[in-house]
Amino acid sequence: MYYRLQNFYQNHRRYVLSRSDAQLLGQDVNIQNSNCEPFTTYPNGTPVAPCGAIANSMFNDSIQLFYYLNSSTAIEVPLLKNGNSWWSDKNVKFRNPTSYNLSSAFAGTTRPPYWQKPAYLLDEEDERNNGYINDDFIIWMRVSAFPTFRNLYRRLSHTNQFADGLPAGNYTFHITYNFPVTKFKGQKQVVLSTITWSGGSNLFLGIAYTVSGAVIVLAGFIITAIHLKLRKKKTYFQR
Amino acid sequence: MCRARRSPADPGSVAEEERRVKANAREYNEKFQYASNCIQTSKYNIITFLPVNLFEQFQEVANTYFLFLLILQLIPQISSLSWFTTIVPLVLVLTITAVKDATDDYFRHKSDNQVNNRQSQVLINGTLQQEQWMNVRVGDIIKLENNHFVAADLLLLSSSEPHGLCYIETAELDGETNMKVRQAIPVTSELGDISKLAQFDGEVICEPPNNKLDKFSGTLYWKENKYQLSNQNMLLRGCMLRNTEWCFGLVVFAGPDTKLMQNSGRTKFKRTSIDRLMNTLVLWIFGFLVCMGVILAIGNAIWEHEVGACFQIYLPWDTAVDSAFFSGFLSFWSYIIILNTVVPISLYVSVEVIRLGHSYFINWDKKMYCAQRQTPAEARTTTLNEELGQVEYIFSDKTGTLTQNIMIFSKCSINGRSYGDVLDLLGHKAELGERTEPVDFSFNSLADPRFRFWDASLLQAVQLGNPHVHEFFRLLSLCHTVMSEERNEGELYYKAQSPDEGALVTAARNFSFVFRSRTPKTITVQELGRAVTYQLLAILDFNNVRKRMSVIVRSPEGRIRLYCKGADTILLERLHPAHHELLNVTTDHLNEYAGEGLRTLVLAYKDLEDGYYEEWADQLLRASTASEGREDRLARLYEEVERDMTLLGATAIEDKLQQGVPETIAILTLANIKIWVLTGDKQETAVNIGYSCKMLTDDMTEVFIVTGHTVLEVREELRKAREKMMDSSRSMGNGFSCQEKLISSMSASRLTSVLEAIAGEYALVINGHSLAHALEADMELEFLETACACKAVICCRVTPLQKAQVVELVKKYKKAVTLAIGDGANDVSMIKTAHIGVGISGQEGIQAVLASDYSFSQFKFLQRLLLVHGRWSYLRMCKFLCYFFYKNFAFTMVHFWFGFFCGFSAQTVYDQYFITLYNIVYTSLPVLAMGVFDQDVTEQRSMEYPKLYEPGQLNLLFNKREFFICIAQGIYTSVLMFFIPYGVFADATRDDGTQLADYQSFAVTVATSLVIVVSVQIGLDTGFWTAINHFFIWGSLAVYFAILFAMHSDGLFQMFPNQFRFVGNAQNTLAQPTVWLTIILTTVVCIMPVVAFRFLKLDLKPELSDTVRYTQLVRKKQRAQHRCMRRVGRAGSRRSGYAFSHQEGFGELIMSGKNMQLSSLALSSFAARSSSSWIETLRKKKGGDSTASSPSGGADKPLKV
Repeated sequence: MYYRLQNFYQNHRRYVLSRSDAQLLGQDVNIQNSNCEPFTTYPNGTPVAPCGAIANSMFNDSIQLFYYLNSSTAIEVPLLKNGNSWWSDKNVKFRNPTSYNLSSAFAGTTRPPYWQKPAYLLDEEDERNNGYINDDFIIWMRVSAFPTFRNLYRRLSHTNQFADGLPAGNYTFHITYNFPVTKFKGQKQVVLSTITWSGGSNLFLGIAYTVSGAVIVLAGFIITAIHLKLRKKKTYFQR
Repeated sequence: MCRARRSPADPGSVAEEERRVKANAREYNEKFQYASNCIQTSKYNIITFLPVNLFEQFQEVANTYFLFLLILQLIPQISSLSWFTTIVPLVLVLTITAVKDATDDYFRHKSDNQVNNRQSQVLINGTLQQEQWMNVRVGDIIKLENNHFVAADLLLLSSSEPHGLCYIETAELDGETNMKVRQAIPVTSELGDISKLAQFDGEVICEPPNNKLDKFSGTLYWKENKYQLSNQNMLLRGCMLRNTEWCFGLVVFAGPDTKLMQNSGRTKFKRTSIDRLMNTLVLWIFGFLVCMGVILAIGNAIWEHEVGACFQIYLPWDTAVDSAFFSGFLSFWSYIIILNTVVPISLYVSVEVIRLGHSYFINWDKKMYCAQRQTPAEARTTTLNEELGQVEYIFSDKTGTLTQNIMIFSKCSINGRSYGDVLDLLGHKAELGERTEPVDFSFNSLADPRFRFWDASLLQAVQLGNPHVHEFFRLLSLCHTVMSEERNEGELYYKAQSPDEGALVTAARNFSFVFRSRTPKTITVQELGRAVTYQLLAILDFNNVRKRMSVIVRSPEGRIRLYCKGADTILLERLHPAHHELLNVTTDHLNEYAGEGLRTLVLAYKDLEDGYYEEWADQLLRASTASEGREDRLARLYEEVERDMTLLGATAIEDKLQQGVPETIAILTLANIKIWVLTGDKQETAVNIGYSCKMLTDDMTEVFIVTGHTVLEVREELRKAREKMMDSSRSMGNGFSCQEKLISSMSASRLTSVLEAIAGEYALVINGHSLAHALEADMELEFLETACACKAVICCRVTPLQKAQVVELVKKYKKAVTLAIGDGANDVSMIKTAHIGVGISGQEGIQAVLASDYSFSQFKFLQRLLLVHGRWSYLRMCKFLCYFFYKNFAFTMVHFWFGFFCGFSAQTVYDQYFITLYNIVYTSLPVLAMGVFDQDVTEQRSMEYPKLYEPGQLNLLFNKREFFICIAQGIYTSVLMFFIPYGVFADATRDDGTQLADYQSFAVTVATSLVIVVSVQIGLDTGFWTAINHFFIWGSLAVYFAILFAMHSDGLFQMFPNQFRFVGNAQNTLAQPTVWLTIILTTVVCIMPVVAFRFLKLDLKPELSDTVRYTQLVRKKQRAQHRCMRRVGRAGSRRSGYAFSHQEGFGELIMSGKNMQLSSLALSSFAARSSSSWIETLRKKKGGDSTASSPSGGADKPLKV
C-alpha cells in the first residue's frame, strides 16, 4: 500500500538541503550550521529534532484497510510497518541518539512545529521503529525525484486469508486526515500494488522497449536496402 | 639583468631624433641614456613571475569567467553547487599554465644569457679588456677577430687589411652568404694600433635607431673636420667577420637599438584559428547559457508565484526573498552556476595537454631526425599543432632552406663532349650511388680534398693533354676575381666573392690548373705542376647588364688572349659564326644541364693581335679617365672586344638543393599548398632555384616578371599579367567570355575568385624594389590578386621587413593559414609574422630557430610535419572538440530539463561529486587518449594521398556547422537521458516494493547511463585503437563505479554525514533490474541514430579518408591512381647563371691591388696612387645603381613600414 502525493515538490533545492544528516545519525551537532532554516529552533531557542523542512512536512495521515468478509463484518487487513525502508538507510544512515531510553535521548529538543508528537513517540509499540529509525520517517526523508511520487506506506502481512494477497471483495480505507494538501493545490491518493521480479508494474518501460526495438529493426532494414542499392551503383560506375 | 634600459617604445621617453656618440667617452654618452648592449627577450623574473603571470592568465576570458563563478558560488542564497566544483579545476588549470610559462621563460633567460655573456674585447682606458657583450656601451671601441660575430652596430674604424677594408658575411641579416666588403673612412683607417685608437675622440652624429639594414647616414666630426658616413662604413650586429684578421669599430647602436633587433619585430602571441573559433563558440555557448538561465529564471518566478507561494507552508521562502521576482533573479545566478559546465574549464587544459602530446610526437619523430647534424625536429611552440594541418600558403626562404648554399662543379661540356655523367659499364647514364668511387686527385698535391668529381674521363683528358680541355681549365683558373691565400706551402685558401666562382676555380685547381696567387698585374697558375705567370692586362668586369666577365692576359709566350665566361644567352651571340656545329652540340648540352636544374656558364676565348690590343688599351685608358659618359664608353669598348670569340665549352654548377626539396614541393603542391619563395638573393638566382626545385616548370603558360621601378610601372606590369591570364582563360573558352561584362563590374574580392579559377599555370617573379610599391596600401590588393592567381610566386631582393609584409598581406586578405620557413636572421620577422614559423637549424646561426615555432634541419621534413603531424593534429583536435562539446551538453542540459520538474529551483540532477569529477576524471582520459593518439589513415597513406590534406585547409572538420551538429547530438542525448528515466521512475518501485523513484536513485541512474553513453560514443569516435585507448575507456568506467561505490560507502558517511548523503545508494540502486533496463534502453536509443547516420554517410558520401581507410582495409593497393608525383623532368629551358651572387667592382678592386696584402704586393705605390680612384668609381657605381637597374637599388627606396 502506497500513498501518492501530487504537486509536492520534494525535489526543490532548498527542500532537499533542509536536513541535518549528522543529527539524524544521532550525533550531537549544532544544527545552526546546517541548512535547516527556518525549522531549526523555536523562538525560545529549543532546537528542533529532527530539524529541517523535510522532516517538518512529514506525511502523517494514518491509513487503515478493512476487508469486508461479508456485507457487514469487516476485518482490518494486517499490514506491516517494518521493513519498508532500505536496509542501508535503516541501519547506516539513521540512528537514534544514544541514551538509556529514547525520550531521554531527545531531551532538550522538541518536535518539529507541524508534528503532533515528538520523534520518540512515532511508534510507541516497537522500540526498533521509533525515533529517527521509524520506517515512515526514513521513507519520507528519502526525498522523491519528481513532484508526483508514491511512497511505500504498509506491506500486506501474508497471513490467514491474505496468504495469497488481497482476495477479491470489498475494502474500505479508514484515513485519519492530518496532512493538508489543498493548500498547495496538491492531491493525495492511496495506491495498492503488487510487485514482480523487476519491481512494480511499469508500463512505460515496456512500451519504450517495444517502440525503440521496432524503430531500430525498421531502420536496419532501410539502411540495408540503401546499402545494397548503392553497391550496385558503385559497381556500375566502376565498369 | 638589463638595467636602465631605455626602450624606444617607452612612451615616457622622447623619441630620439638624432644620435650623438663620442668615442672613448663613456661619461659623455651616458647622459643620453642609450640602450645598453644587453638584450632581454624573457618576460618574468622570480619576483614578478607570480603576479604578472596570474594577471596575464586572468586576462584570458575563460579564467576570469571561472573566477566569477567561484565568487557566485560563495554567496549562499544562490550557491547551487559547492565551491570546490569550480576551484579544483581552476587551480589545476592555473597551475599547469603557470608551470608551462615558467619553463618557457627559463629557456628564454638561458638563451639571453648565452648571447649576453659572449665575450668581446673592449678598449677601456687605453687597454683591451675582455668584456661580456651586455657590458658593451655605445661609444666603446671594440676589437673583432676573424670569424667572430659583430657584437653591436659598429662604425668601422680600421682593420688588419689595407685601406681599412674588411669582409663580412651578412647571412644572419639577409641570408646572403657571399662576402661583402666594408671599408673604414680613410682618416680612421690609419688608426691601427691601440694607443692611437685610445686617443680617438671623434663624435658621430647620425640617424636614430631604425630597421633599415642597407641605409645609414651620419657624420663623423673629428679634429674640426666633417666626414660623411654611409652604410659602407658600418658593421651591423649579426654579421660575421670573414677573412680579416681583426678590425676595430665604434659602437653606435647597441642591444635593442641595433638594426638586427629593430628588424626582429615584437613577439606576438600566436593563436590558432581553432583557438579563435573556440573562443567565439565559447562566447556563443555563454550566450546560450544566459538564455537558458533567463528561461529558467522566468520559470522560477512563475512557479514561485503560482505554486511556490502555496507551497510555503512546507517550504517558506528564504528570509531575504520577498517576492517571486526576486526569487527568479536569484535562481538565474544559481542556474548559471550549475549550467556552467557547458563551458568546461577543463576544455582549455585538455586542449593544452593534447597539443603538448602532439609536440612530443614531433620531437620524438625519428623520421624527422637528421642524423648528419644530429638534430631532431623540435616543436618550440606547443600551441600551434593543429594549425599545421590547415596551411595554405608557405613562404620559404631560399638560401639555406631550399638550398644548402653549396656550389658544386658538377658537369662540363668541352669542345662538344660532355663530362660529368657517371656511366655504367654499358655506357648508359647511371644514377649516383653510394658505391660509385669519386675521381682520385691524390696525384695533385694542391688539390682540394673536399672536391668530388665522378667522371674519370675528364681527368684522363687532362692527362692525355687534350688542348681544348687544357684551355678550358686555363680559362677557369684565369678568368675570375678570386683571391688566394697560401698560409703554408700548398695550403691554398680561396676568397671567392661568390660561391659559384669558388667552385669553378676549385675545379680547375683539382684538374691541375691551380690558381696560386695574383698581383694587380699578374696571375700565377700552376699548370700541370709547372708554375706559369700570366700578365694580367685587363679585367672586363661583370655587371648585371653584361652578364659576363672577361680577362685579357698575356701568356709567357707573349700571346695575348681574351678569356670570357658568361651567361649563355649573351655569350652565344658573340661567338664566331664559323663554329656552328660545336655551337649546336654545346647548346644541346646546355639544355640538358639546365633541365637538371644546374646553373650554366659558357666559356669562350679570343686571340688578340698585339697591335689591336694596344689600340684598344689606349682607348680603354682614355675612356676610364673620361669625366663624362665613362660607363657608356667603357661598355662600348668591352662590347667591341668581346666579339667573334671561339667557344670552349660550358660549365654546369649545381647549387645544391637540400635533400628531397623538389619532391617535397611537388607533394605540397599536390596538397593544394601554395609556395612562395621570398629571398634576399638576386632575381636570376631565385628563378634558377625556382626551376631546379620544380616550382617553375617549362610547362607553365607564362612566368611574369615584375621589375618596375616606379609605382606606375609596377601597376602596369601587374595589370598586364592579370589581363593575360584573363585573356588566355577566355580564349580557352571555359565560359569566361560570356561573363566578360560581369567580370569588369565585379568587385575586387569576386575578381580574386575568378582569377583563382583560371586554368593554366602561371608564375610571378617580383623584385624587391617593385615589391616595395606593390605593397603600398593602394596596390596591395592588386598584387595579391595577381600573385594568388599564380601557381608559384618568387620575390627576390626582398628585405626582412618586406618578407614580413608579404606574409602580413596574405594574412590580412586571405583567410588562410600561412607558414613561413627560413633559416637566417633575415627570416625572423617573417617567421614571427606568419601563423606558423618554421626555422631550419642549419649553418646560418640560430636566430631563426629561436624565433620559430617549429624547427628541424631539412626542408623535406616540412612534408612530414604538415601532411602527417599537422593533419593528424588537426583531425585529432577537431574530433576532440566535437566530442568535448557533445559530452558537456549531454551532461549539462539534463539540468535544464530537470528544472521543469523541480520548481526551477536549480536543483542538480547529479550528486555534486559527480559534477566535480565528470569532466576531470570520468570522461577526460578517454577523450584525451583519442585527441593524442587518433589517426584516420596511417602515415604512409597520408603522404601518399596529399589530397587528404584538403579538409584541413577548407576547415571542414570543425566549424560552426559541425559544432551545431555536436550540440544537437548533445541535446538529443540529454533529452533521452532525462526523459527515459523520468518515464520509468514515475511509477517504479523496487523489486521488494520499496522506494525507487527517490531523488538519489534517479541521480545515480542518470549519471551511470551518462557515463556509459559517452564512453560508448568515444568508442565510436576513436578511429585508431591503442592499448592506451582501451585502458582509458575501460579504466574510466571502472573508476566511475569505484568512486561511486566509495562515495556511497558507509565509512565516508560516518565521518562526514552532511557531505556524503548518498550513502548506500549505489548498491541499492544498481542492484535493481529496472535501473539496468533503463540504462540499457537509454544507451541504445542515444547511440543508434549516431551509428545509423555514420553508416549512411559512409555509404552515400564517403570522404577521401574513408575511401583510403576502406582501401587499406581490403588491402587493395591502388596507389597509382592518386599518385601523380612526377619524376624530375629532363627537358628544361636554358638558364644561365653566371655569378649570381656576384657584385660589380671586384675586377677593379683587383686591378688596383687594393685588396691585396701589402706584403704580397710589389706595386704598393701603384695601389696607393690609384686607390682613391677605384673607391670613387665604386661609389659612383653604387650611387648610379640605386637609381638604375642594380638589384641593390630597390632596397634604397623608402620602405613602407
